[in-house]
Amino acid sequence: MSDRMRIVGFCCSHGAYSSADLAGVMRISYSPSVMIIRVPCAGRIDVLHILRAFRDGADAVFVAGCLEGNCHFEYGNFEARKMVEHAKRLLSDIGIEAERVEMFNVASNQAWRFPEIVGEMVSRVDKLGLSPLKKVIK
Amino acid sequence: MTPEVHLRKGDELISLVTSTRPARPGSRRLRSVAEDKGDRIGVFICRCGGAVSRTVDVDSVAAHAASLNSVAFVKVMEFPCSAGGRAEILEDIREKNLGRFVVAGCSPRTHEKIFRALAAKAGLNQSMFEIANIREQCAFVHVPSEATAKAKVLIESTASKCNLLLPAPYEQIPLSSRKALVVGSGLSAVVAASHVSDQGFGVILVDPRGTSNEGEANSIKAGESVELFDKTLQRLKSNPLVRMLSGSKVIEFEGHPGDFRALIQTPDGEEDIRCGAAILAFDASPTHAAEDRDRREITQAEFGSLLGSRVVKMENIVMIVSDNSSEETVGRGNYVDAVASSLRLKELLPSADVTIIGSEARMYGLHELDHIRAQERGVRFIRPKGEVDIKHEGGLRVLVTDASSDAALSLPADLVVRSDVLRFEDAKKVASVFKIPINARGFFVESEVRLEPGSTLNRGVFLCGSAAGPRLVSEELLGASTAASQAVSLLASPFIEAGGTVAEVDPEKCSVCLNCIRICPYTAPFINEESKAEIDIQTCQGCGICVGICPSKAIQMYGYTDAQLFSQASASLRGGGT
Amino acid sequence: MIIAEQKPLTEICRIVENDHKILVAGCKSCVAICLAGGEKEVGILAESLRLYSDLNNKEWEISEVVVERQCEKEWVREIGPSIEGKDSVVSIACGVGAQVVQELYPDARIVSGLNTSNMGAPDEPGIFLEKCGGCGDCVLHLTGGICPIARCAKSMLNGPCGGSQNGKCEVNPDTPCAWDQIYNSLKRLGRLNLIEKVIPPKNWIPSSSGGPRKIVRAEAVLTPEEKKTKEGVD
Repeated sequence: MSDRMRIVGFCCSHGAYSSADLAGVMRISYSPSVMIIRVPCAGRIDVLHILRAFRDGADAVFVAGCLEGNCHFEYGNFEARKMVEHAKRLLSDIGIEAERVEMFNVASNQAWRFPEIVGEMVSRVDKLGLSPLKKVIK
Repeated sequence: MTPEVHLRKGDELISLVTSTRPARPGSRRLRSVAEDKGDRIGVFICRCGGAVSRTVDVDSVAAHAASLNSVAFVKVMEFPCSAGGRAEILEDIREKNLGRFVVAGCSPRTHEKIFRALAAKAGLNQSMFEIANIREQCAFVHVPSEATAKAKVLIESTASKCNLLLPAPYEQIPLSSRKALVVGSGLSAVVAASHVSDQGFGVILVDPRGTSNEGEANSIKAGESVELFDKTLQRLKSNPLVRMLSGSKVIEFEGHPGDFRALIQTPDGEEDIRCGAAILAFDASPTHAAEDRDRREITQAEFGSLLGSRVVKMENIVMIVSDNSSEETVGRGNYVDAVASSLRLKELLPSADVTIIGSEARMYGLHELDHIRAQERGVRFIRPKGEVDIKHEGGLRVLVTDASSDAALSLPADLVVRSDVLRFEDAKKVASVFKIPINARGFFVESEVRLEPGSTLNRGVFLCGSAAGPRLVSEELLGASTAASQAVSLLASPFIEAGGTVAEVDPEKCSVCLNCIRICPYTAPFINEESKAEIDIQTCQGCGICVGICPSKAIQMYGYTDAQLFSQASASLRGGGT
Repeated sequence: MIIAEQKPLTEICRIVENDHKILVAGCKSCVAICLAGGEKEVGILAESLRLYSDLNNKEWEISEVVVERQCEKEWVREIGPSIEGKDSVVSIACGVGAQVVQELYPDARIVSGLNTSNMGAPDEPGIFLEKCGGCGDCVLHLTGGICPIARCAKSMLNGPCGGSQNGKCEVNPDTPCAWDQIYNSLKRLGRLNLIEKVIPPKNWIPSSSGGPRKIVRAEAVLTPEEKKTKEGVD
């Protein structure tokens, strides 16, 4: 289990989650290592979800909301972006590379964008290696 | 472009904090640590006629699901979403005494509604199911070996979330009024009012300007619309469903879709009215040029009235069509208007020499025909390079460099006509009464321009007219119909549905820090009589932003509690077996 | 209210370096509102410490608790069972709360996870400004409701210093000059005459220079008889 790459993506239902659905309909494949967690809005997520995911063995975590200025809930994606910045600072204090966390903005009609995001995160993990926490996860 | 963010401040916040609404009776306590009720979970796995089962080994996935502690029953089906499939699930829920269920198949984006109805039919709370997306986000994108392994993890993580689901509140609230309040004085207002009343719904038309119509604003625009305005107004006046309150304005507005209360200041005093929906049909008006300006420089609106009076003797006219700047918003139809008035002028005074200077020839749709017509009648079009200057000494001259020939031109002018600058003077006041945001340019903001045009963040309040942004007359008409149809579909609904995935405050944890009140895009949280924050379930739209920011972790959200998300993420990282 | 901010995580980790069982204790009052020590921050800090521990093989055992008000004994007593057996308690209440916990549990090692900064107010979301210097001798009635002790970098009492530039402070150009604000406030109130009133050298005895201050509200103090009765009841 622990040698497999796992990436958690908290995806806003209106943007990224729908984009992933569309990628599916268009059969644009991407790495199965990504685990999508559907949330109503990227703004729902707080730092704790990101930290917890790392403790559960995530090699990378991303939060994906609607395009800026197009949030279904006005500004949830801005809240999410600030929160991700906070998480990056905390993680580097902890000793985990900040690049393992990222905020993305995706519109529901950007089918190609979701696989691209997954690709980006996979290549970051390829570069950084699996999470340094993997060894301690039982 | 800088995105515009609207956070609530000031008066509006104060009113939310000081309102003395009683606490909701029996307010639920949505704990962040959800307890495992030990309900029996049923898992229904869809083959989707092969769309899933060609890639995913559903039997192996079913075996994995059956091995999970929380799962009591597993079934592989051809089409769980079909009528037959749903009947089968219904029977299984009853027979196997299932308390909640997981459907593994299509995206919840498309199938959530179907299974919500099924849960209700089965006598379960509508939220007691989860969908594992093993079709779009698994079978369609991964190769068979990977897809099967992933489907196992997806079902495991979904089941682990499902295990922690809490019955969400669902309420059907009757409408207390099926009338629409329409506010505005222009074409949009009368057209929206007439659409609503034509559908058989009562209308209260509050007309702040009294008798005026937008014919005053621009007679060229009015050429198309003044007749329509008058005709529509007459029709409204004779319609018993329509009540007109002229020279009035709305000073207070509160409530929920289907149940709004408005306090209206009429010339005869204040009046309290009830309505089920509201349409804000304000128009931004062109501003007048400064008093101390050169009288030979006028705005397009002023030129329009001049043309209306039919006494035009100027031979040389130069029109300067400006673009939006950081300070000024010009009408969307500024170029259209210039071309239309040049044609009108040529009609009245064929010898007139007209030049239109503008960097972008924005002629929408069939207006392009006017463009051709104007060229045929000898109107001169110049695309400027750099600034356009006006020399005032002696005869007025416009100095411009033509972008295509690089020639510096000095055009004699009897009159210089500039684009109208639009401003909606009362935007701030109206926005604060109706609790809707305005953007940096002072226009109302639609909440979902593409999916729900005409809607605002205050559910049940709709927008049309140029106060929602500069529009052409044709677009104003379209906007008015859009807002009217949105309002009618609300007024025609048998009841208003509230609840579902809404946020809820645990009063014992609430520090009354006001962060939720400040951040909510919809003004759903308020401080109740017990001095704790509370979220109005009729107003809450279920974004969860307040849940994320609450420093006391006092807010949780049905369907997306911390415990549920942690458990889902954890299972998707650790789960899947071997 | 009291404004505080969290110490850098690395510093907290260093402080508890050699401990094993660690409790993170938050407070639901001021520090929750200034986003430094409420339940959310307790969760984030605890989780960060767990990650740090996992990463560095510390084998820390981190637990979490939140108190209504860490500055009041009765509330703090409620967390007694959580404190028991801990090598250290990282208090993310203000310095007051941390000390009250230490007083009640003298055998526990209480360390502060926050730096307590000032008495201030939320200005706009996420921004907190100092308002009061706690000098013990309030002059707000003379200064248009604006405190020159806390809000003037030099605590000037009789008008601005020479460094007041265009309404800004020379010490920090982002800070408005308190005396500029005082002038405008008095002007609005029609009490500009007050600015001419010379405030004599300030009595600093009630301020913090004389050691910890004590306020006694006689009628609330228990009499020896009351104490006896109470103890009897207990």
